[in-house]
Amino acid sequence: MKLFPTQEVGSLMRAPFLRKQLDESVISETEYWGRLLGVERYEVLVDKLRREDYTVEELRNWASLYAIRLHEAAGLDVVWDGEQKRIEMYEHALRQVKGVEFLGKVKVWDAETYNKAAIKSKPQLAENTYVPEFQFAKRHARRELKVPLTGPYTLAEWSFDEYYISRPRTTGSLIERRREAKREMVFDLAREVVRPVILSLVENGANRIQIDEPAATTKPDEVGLFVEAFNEIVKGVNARFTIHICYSDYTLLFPYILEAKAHELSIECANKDAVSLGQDERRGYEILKLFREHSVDFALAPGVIDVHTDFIEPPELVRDRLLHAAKIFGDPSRIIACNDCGLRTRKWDVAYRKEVNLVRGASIARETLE
Amino acid sequence: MALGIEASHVGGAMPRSEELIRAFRRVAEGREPYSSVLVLAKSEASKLIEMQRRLGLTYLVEGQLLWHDILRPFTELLEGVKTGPLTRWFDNNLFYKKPIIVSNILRTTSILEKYVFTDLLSGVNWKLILPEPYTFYRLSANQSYSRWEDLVLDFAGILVEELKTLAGTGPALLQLSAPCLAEKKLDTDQVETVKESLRIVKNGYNGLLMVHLFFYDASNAFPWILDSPADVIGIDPFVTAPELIRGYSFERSLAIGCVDARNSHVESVEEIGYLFNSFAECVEARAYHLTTNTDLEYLPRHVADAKIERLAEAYRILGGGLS
Repeated sequence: MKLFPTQEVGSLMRAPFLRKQLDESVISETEYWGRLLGVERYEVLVDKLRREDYTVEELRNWASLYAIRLHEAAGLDVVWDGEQKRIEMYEHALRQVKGVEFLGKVKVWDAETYNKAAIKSKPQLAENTYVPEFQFAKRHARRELKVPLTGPYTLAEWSFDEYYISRPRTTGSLIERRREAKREMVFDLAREVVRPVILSLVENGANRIQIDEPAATTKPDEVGLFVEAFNEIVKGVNARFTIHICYSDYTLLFPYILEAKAHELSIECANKDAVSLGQDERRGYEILKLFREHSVDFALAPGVIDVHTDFIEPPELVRDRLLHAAKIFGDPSRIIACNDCGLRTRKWDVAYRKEVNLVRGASIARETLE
Repeated sequence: MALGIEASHVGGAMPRSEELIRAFRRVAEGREPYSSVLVLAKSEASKLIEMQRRLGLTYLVEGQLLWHDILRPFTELLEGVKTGPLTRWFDNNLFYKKPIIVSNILRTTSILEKYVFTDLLSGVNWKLILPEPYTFYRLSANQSYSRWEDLVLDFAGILVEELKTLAGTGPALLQLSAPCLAEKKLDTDQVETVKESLRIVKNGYNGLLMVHLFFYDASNAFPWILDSPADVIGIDPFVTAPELIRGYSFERSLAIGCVDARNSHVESVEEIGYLFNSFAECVEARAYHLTTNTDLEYLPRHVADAKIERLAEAYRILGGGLS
């Protein structure tokens, strides 16, 4: 198997024609990217934009195609459509669920917010846009696909609970009753929402699925619950599963993560790392020692591209990060080259150049070891 | 039951309205001057004060709507502090910017007057929320002080200087938010430093001093917190085991945060009363305060407002306030 295979982590900023007022500059940008990425028949889209003759669904399909081609043109081994058809990872997932009500914006930091929902009754999957989304990507992708889904623990942790805590419980202290309520909420989201989506995707040919669990370590005493819920959704499913956790205290994952039935764990490291070259000391990858000490049996995808800066990592920096990570982890064959997280906050030119250098850096790292 | 409920008030950082959130974003993107946020935030603060007054709460908050996080005024305006990376705020999906202590901290400008609408608070019994000094230290990255104790005590001194600038319109109730005092049991040296820092604040401030222990089991700070200079000790009953504080008796007030600021379920008066009584029966305090377990900023604004209304209703029905 190829050393340092490359993959993205999910999201990409919306295609120019989805996120802006459609003026001539947007049309030119659409034309530019269509030509650069080799998007087949992009002239049709450009013509439709000029004539203002399109539907929103058509534009979303074009956006999905453009994003797939961006990842492919950069040279990634595993690609996705940049979540062009989704709102964002939390709201998109719960908009398809019965028993959930969105209550309004809550702060995440400064002026950044998200639309937070309350679970009002037992959640049930009412709609499944993931299958047509995957089918479209499958029809067009020339590389292997990896479908990102938000995991049950994060869906629960980022939601209010108005149902489970209100159910009558006769025993236990308030703390115990709330703990039990949280557990029920996580497992209902696992069994009634996320697992049915996974099964439907696999039935339609998906064989790589990424479960996003950025909330996994939010509550240190619930890390075990996140792992249990993960194992519940993948139980008996024949696909390759990646868990993605970013901007977290990874020390809290232990020992629970050792029980996770995952093939890969994707974590953010580049954000904590220096940008100078060198393979001896790299503070962003110190955490990999812990994974080695625990002899984890999954592959590791430490981010080598920082998604929160416009700095374009040169291929040599990507190389050094990968080689250093491989050395610390102790097994280059289980190191995957990817970003810290999705690139949704970066403009397409920045995202594209970062991905190109990710691929180049992985290639020279590979050559170094081979 | 519930005799002796002497006051009711809410956690001070309120959620911003969606309109104010949008305004902050426009400012962050450089599309509007900061003054536009000030106008809007002040108008919202004014309505918030009026609502609490109408509902009969004892100490009113102006919402601290200009504060991105409770540490930020100090992170941005203290000399010796740099703004660090986004960091998770305890076990929440909320992040603050970590203060990096690069040299001994020094107050070279008035801080709170830039963040609090004091002109709305003249003649008002109001409540201000500030970081407790040990908690401030724990949430910072100290790259300068060789003794962490000095950072804690210096910060306490700075709080006093700041409170003095508010003199005429100062808060009647000062809440020091102190999750780090309850996160785990502190050792003797840590406790002595915390007590000393609280003494510095208490000696430099004329109003009621409340130390609010939330997010963690408050029993971790018992019994030493009872010997501290705090007039009011706040607990979070959603994470505190009543049996661990059962039997304590003290000549201070106990603030019980019976309204959960981290969940949208709006508690009924019965639920609030039941929770209040289950703790008030455990601990014999001089008097009791009925409050929220933490700041209401974890909720959408309309839910926070509904919680304030319900808290005030419970306060009336349980025997405090206007009844």
